[in-house]
Amino acid sequence: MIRILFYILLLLGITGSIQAQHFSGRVLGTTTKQTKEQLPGANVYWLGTTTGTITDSVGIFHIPQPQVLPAKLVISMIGYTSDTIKINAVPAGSIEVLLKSTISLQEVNVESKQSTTRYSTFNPVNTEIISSKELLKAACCNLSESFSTNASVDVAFTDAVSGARKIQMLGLDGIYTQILSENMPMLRGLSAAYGLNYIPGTWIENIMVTKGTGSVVNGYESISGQINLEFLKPKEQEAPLFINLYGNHKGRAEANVHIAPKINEKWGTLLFLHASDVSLKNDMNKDSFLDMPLSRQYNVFNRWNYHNQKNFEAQFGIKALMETRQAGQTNFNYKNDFGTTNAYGIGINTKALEYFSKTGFLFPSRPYKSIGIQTSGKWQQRDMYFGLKKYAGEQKNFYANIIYANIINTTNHKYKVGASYLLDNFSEKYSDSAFARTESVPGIFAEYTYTHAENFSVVAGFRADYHNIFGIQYTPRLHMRYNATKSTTLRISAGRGFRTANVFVENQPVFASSRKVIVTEKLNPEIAWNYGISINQKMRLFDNEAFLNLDFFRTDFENQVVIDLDNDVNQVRFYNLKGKSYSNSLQLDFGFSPLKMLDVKLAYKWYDVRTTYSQQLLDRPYVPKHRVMFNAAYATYMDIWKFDFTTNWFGQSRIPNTSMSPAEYQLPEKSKEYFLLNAQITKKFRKFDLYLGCENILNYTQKNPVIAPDKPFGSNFDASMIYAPIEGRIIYAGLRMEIK
Amino acid sequence: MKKIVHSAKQSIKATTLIAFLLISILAKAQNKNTVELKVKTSAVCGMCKTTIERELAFAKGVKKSELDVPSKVVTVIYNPNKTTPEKIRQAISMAGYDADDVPADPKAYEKLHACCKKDVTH
Repeated sequence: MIRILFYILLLLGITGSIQAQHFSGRVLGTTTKQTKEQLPGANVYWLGTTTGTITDSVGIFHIPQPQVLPAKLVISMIGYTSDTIKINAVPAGSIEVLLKSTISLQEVNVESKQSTTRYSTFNPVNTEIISSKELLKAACCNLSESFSTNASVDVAFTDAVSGARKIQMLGLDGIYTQILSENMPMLRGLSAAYGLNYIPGTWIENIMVTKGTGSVVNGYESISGQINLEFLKPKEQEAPLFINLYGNHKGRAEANVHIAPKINEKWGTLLFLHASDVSLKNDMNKDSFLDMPLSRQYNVFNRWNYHNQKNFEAQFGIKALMETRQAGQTNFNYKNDFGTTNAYGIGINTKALEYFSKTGFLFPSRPYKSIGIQTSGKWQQRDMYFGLKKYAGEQKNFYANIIYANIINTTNHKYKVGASYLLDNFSEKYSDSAFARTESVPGIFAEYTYTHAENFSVVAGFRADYHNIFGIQYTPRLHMRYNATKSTTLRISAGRGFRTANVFVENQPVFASSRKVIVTEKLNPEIAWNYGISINQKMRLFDNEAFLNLDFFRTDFENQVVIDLDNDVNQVRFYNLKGKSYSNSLQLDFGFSPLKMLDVKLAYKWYDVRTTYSQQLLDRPYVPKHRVMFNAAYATYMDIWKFDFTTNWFGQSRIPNTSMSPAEYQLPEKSKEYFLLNAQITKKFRKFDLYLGCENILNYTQKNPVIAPDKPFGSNFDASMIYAPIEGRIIYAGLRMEIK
Repeated sequence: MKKIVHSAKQSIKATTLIAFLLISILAKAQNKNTVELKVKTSAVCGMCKTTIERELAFAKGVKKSELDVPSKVVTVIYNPNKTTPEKIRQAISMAGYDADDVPADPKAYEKLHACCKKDVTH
């Protein structure tokens, strides 16, 4: 028991995301694999009150002590039988609760299953948890593609040649979303824009998506949202070997292997191996350009957990990545054509090496108190050529964060204080110019959480960072939650975010055009304020759980690095914002189950995202005003068969002005609206799972994605004006298996 | 505009088709006449319950199964055109458990987790 307590406490300090409290425990559930599984997102509350919480990603909860003893603690989770525990005295240690899965015969009316995407009722921050099950709905491949069944995160197309995809939140580019790896900032600098392309979906245990600004504990960079990725942990991989294979009819092949040898009680390790390859040339639209680049990627991640079974735990890991991509004209041959105008070629080569470590110390007599230390380091290099344009970038990064958590008198008042240090060294070369800068940012932060026993909680955070180039930056953030009724949750949030732009890598698509890159002035950091309000209503419909979620977010930029494609069709101009730039985003989500094993999700999104381009307030290009998503998932008994179907409808979006171009190269002012349909079938066998799917069933592609493809070195060439898929229908199949 | 209407029609068509497929699968699954069978097993714990229910889920013709740990009786709902009580008992045996008078397959029994073996006292 004490071991578990220690373990939990250490974890507390380590993840730094959880508040220390009087009373804590862990919720486990029985799985179909006859094993125990940590249950994230389970509701834990005192019977007859609205004091409650949800378990975190590893099933741990912390709840204020009850007002009166004895009290009854209810632990419930969709898909599991609820449990009620009578607490006569607050236990010194933590408790462990095992919930049984409820797939049963008699209780047809009570029987329900775990939804793959959940909204919590207790968390003050508006967070959506996407489980690995949800990620399986769209089996291909890396995280930039995995969000196609999720409404809060959009997947955007970038250019007609590089094959990279980007995410967007609140209608704003993914660079304004802070990506965390187990609560540590991960994809920054050179990898901020495209880093998700390098995370295989099978490595992920779950994803927490927070709209608006996140916690100050994680830094100052989140503006439109925060995405926290939890990778699989050594202890969670039951089988020592896991294999995933994927192939599609256009010649893309991927393999993922996870190896988790059992060592001993103290040590655990997990090795992730990934390789992918595209070596088939496709040019369906016959414009002489490859639809998707030829590529090869090797990606390795090895993580270790150490737990001395007493008072100390550490986690650390190393990652290595190597990728080459080649795109452009089908007849391009690097040896003969590189640096010439014989044929237009594109090459993007990425290398990265990184490590992380997390350690935690605890105070055994005071379970609410902890200290956690996080550090990470990364070296990355990105070399690219687009025709005759060349870019080389290198970033060295070091990060350290120390978090101290404690309470003020009672667990109703909790706080975290800490300090961080960030060191970034960039050196970039574009054409003949070289750019170098070092950012050194020490910072301090404090976050206070007040939890009212009944139905209210507030998290107020503040941090101050001293940036060696841009001076002191203050980052205030606030989150509030109010439960109007047991099933109605209201939330508001407000906060400031700050980041430095890396214009070359973040706007890599523009290189695939004849546009001249012009940086008109010294670029300042991007600063924005974000405000959000949301309401979540849970209800019962057709005898199953249903939810309705409505949120509105506003982002106001104080400064932004404006990417001006409108001023001149032969230029891309970067300058500091002069005037307004904002994003309004409204999202309505409705999820219900008309039948026991059928989940339906409907979402509508409205975006109003505008920026001042040369004194003109214009819509952000390629951001559709309206979007609709429909997702249906049906599973048979014990998930033997699973059917998933997703439709996305994209409304019109603005295309940058091309009126200066000759008539034959002009584009309309607005994009066309279109549908994207995806479907997948999964069959579970005793020893393995097989899946078969189809992306873009309607075979919708943007017509003539490349402007002037016949003269790629001429002044009208542009492969960056993309709002829809380039690749048509894709049929894929794959296999997942665990070897015991 | 025509194009948009066309693509909208196409998607609605596809969506309808998929909905129809789903409904027919459901209808198929629910219209079949099913029979209930009760089998006494040697299950001793929740883990055994999961093992047996999972094993039966993969057995041909079995619609659902539910094991009651205290009584060790598993209630199986199956399609009599596709399987027989003998085959169901055989499947339980192959999972490592006794099924009425069919003894557990010794090899499968060996592989069971220590807490699932029938001679364990709980």
